[in-house]
Amino acid sequence: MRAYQDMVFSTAARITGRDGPAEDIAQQVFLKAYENFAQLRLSPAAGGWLKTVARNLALNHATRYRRRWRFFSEMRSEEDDDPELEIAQPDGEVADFDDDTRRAIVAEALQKLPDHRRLPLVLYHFEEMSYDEIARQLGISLAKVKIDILRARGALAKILAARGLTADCF
Amino acid sequence: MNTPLNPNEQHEQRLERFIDKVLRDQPPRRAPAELESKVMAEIARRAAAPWWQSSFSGWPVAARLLFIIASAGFITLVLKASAIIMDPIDAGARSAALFADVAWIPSLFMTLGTVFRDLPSLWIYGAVAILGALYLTLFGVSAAAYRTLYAPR
Repeated sequence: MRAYQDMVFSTAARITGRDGPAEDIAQQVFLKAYENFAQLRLSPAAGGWLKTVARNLALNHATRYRRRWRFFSEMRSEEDDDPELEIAQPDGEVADFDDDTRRAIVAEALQKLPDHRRLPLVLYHFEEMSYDEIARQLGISLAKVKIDILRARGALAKILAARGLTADCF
Repeated sequence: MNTPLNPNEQHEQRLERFIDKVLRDQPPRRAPAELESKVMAEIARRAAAPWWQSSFSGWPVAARLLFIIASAGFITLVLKASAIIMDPIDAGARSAALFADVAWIPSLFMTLGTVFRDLPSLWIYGAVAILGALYLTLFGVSAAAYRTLYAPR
């Protein structure tokens, strides 16, 4: 369990965007693993099994709440802006951060994205799902997935730039 | 032959590469220290719980058989009781007195059944269609109201 708990918790936390539900999900994952211990004990695919179960449970959690506002969210026109994402541009100075600080800034920036932008972005970049898979999983159109991911990238880059993190820092 | 990318597409590709690098650079989040102890405590709690608190498939075979027989007996009893309610006149005076207060329930259901049987099917389909149309109208009005009054703010 110790070898996998960070991976399982990370997967759940990135998808749900909250630590509390992520901890509950991680607990459920390991209880399921305990129930299937006989099959998993010697399996080389145990890590993949745990990740898949964590991802599915986290997606179930995320989409359960997403369904409530999805219809209204889909109705918003594509030109609608996210006012909360209007963040000042950097003044041109590139800050010098150590690795831990830089990673903390990125994690914080990711949390600032609204759920409907963060979730497709996380599924694409962390979970390596295709646009089609994300659209199917979230029950939204392919075009909306692409736009949400594109806008999420733009918003994330803006937030990072406002904190002094640009492509030069990586 | 590859067509050259327009500046917009080039910008989007640069942005994608940048964000991909940024996110892949992130280490796994550290699980809460108490996660392991919580999982172990839950496993211990489940192991210590009596068998009847586990799922039905976890019950002993004898207990499952007994439960199924008891359930069948209960259902038979309920059906017999229903027969007495449906026919209170033929039942004994004690049963009649016992069920006199609820004797109108079966007659209500029988009346409703007769009404539905005698209704032309077109009326039923029409009523379902009207209800569906009203539901969709209400949903549409709510969505329009949300968009007009709330979403742009």
